[in-house]
Amino acid sequence: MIVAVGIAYFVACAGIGWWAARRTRTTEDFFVAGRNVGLLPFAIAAMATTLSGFTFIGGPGLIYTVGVTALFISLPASLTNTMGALVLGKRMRLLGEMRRLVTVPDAIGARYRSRAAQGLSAVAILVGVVGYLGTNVLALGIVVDALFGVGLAPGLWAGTAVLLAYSVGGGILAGIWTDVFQGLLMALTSTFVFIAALDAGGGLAAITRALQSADPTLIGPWGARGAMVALSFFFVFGVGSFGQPHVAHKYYMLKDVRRLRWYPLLMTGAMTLALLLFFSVGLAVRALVARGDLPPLARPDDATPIFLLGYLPRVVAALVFSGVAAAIMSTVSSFLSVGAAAITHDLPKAFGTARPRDDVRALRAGRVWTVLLCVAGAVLAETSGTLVAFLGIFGYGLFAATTLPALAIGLNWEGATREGAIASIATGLVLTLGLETAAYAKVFTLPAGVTVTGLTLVASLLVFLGVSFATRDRAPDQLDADVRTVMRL
Amino acid sequence: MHRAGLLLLSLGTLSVAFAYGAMLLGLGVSAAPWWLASGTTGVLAGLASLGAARHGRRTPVLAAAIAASFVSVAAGFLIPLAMPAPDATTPLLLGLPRPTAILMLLVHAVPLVLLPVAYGVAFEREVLDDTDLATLRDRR
Repeated sequence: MIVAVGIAYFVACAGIGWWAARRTRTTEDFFVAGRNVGLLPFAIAAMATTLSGFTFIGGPGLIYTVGVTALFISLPASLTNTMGALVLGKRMRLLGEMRRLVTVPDAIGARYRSRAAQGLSAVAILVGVVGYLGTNVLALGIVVDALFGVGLAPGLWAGTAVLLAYSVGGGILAGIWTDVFQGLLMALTSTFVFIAALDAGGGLAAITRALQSADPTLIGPWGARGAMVALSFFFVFGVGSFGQPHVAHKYYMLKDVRRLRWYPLLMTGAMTLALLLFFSVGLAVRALVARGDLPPLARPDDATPIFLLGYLPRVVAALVFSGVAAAIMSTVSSFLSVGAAAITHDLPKAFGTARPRDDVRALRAGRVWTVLLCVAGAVLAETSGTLVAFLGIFGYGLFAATTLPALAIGLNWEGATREGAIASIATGLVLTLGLETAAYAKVFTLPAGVTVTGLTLVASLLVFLGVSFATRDRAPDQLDADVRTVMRL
Repeated sequence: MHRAGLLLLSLGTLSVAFAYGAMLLGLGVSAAPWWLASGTTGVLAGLASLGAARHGRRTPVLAAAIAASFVSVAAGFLIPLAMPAPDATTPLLLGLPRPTAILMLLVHAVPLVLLPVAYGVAFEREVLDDTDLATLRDRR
């Protein structure tokens, strides 16, 4: 049953890719879905892109280990969906339409009238994308292996082949519609699992009492790791969410800016459903272990698979496993689009090197680089051992520190300057690479609750605010009239 | 709204920096979660205020929703920080220990409902209307 559902899922993804490929004729189709995506697919695709395999496997495993502390990774979603529309949505969509922008570095370049800021941002995004791709392709290989029992390396390449089948032909248009399919699957299966988890645990009060008998801190307000770690998660995943290029980039694709009106409500509703699994499985499994109904897990990441196989009908378990693959693939396809655009569009534009002469050649270049990036991610995942996990760790922090100040604050503050943007992007890039590498090599150990991501994000914010303030006299000359109009609306 | 947003963002960032600095230097470690909770709320409230601000126009519904949401978030962090750690005898609220339930309600549930509804309701008057789009068309 699990194999049959898995095959049906992958065939459906490839079918959507084939359909989208026939409709992808220009680079605007390939990178921003022709700016023609309606509200419902836009909201569900944004949700699917935001969530990754971590939501379904790593997250519940972390909750099993540290309790409520891990919930602080997803708690900011109550704020960030609406804030995304307020801080980025309207202005990026309007600016994108006026200037025909297709990438996040494009928006940074237009905001500060600076090719250097655009190029530096593209470099930072490319470094983060490669790391993220490696980690997510490896996770996809693990899921394919779990579904079909083919082994990690064949699973990794089979997953890569399906990804390429729809990403190369249909670009982000295929990504959007597979995201819709995948997002609906994630929300539906997550709701089923939530109900089953509460039922298996005897209700939330019974789960709480069982957890309290094992370790009262697990279900305390900050979980087993305490307030500092929990709040640090909230800071990094709340504030940092506005610097994620694969999510911000989606605002260009909305058909009509007025449809943003109900986007936060739809996105918040869809995400709340999709996060129910994250919230419930780790706590329920830990309670079942505390009551002696399950043996302690050998690995925390087994929480979801063990619960699915032990407490749900096979067909639902199969759908959830497909949902995990869906979460990973939707994230990877967005990264492929963002990475290919950085190489074929932003870097040549920033450094004044030759760009494809016409749209047909530009589209071909986008497809070639999508293949190369995907294959590079698969090779990295297969050959680099523990390094791939390290690369994945710094991806989120790198995006947050290098993109958030220049983009999210810059689009909303006329006093921000080119110098502040470049200094903050450079600070985020250098500090993230330097400190994450030093931490990986165990050159230093940080106290609980202090992370490299948190430190670099704060440093980047301080540099951006400080340098912009110091050079504020230059701000008016760095703002084009049309950009100013958009910022003032 | 704009100035308040920038002030909140700057003070919030400094507050988070104080929290991390206290932990790194081992000074005032017990106060660090208070700095971090206040700072994170300040940074997010500042960003939301900057995003909602419009040149020369008032946005009362959005401003009220943002203020209410972030007062709720701040209270949701600070009340559990001030409460004793729950144990097996702590009364439950909605199936969770009382401090955990307070945090979940104030930090998650209140803004989860308030912000998207306020954004949708106020959209035409306070986010974007046909006159704005006409202004942009003229500029092009």
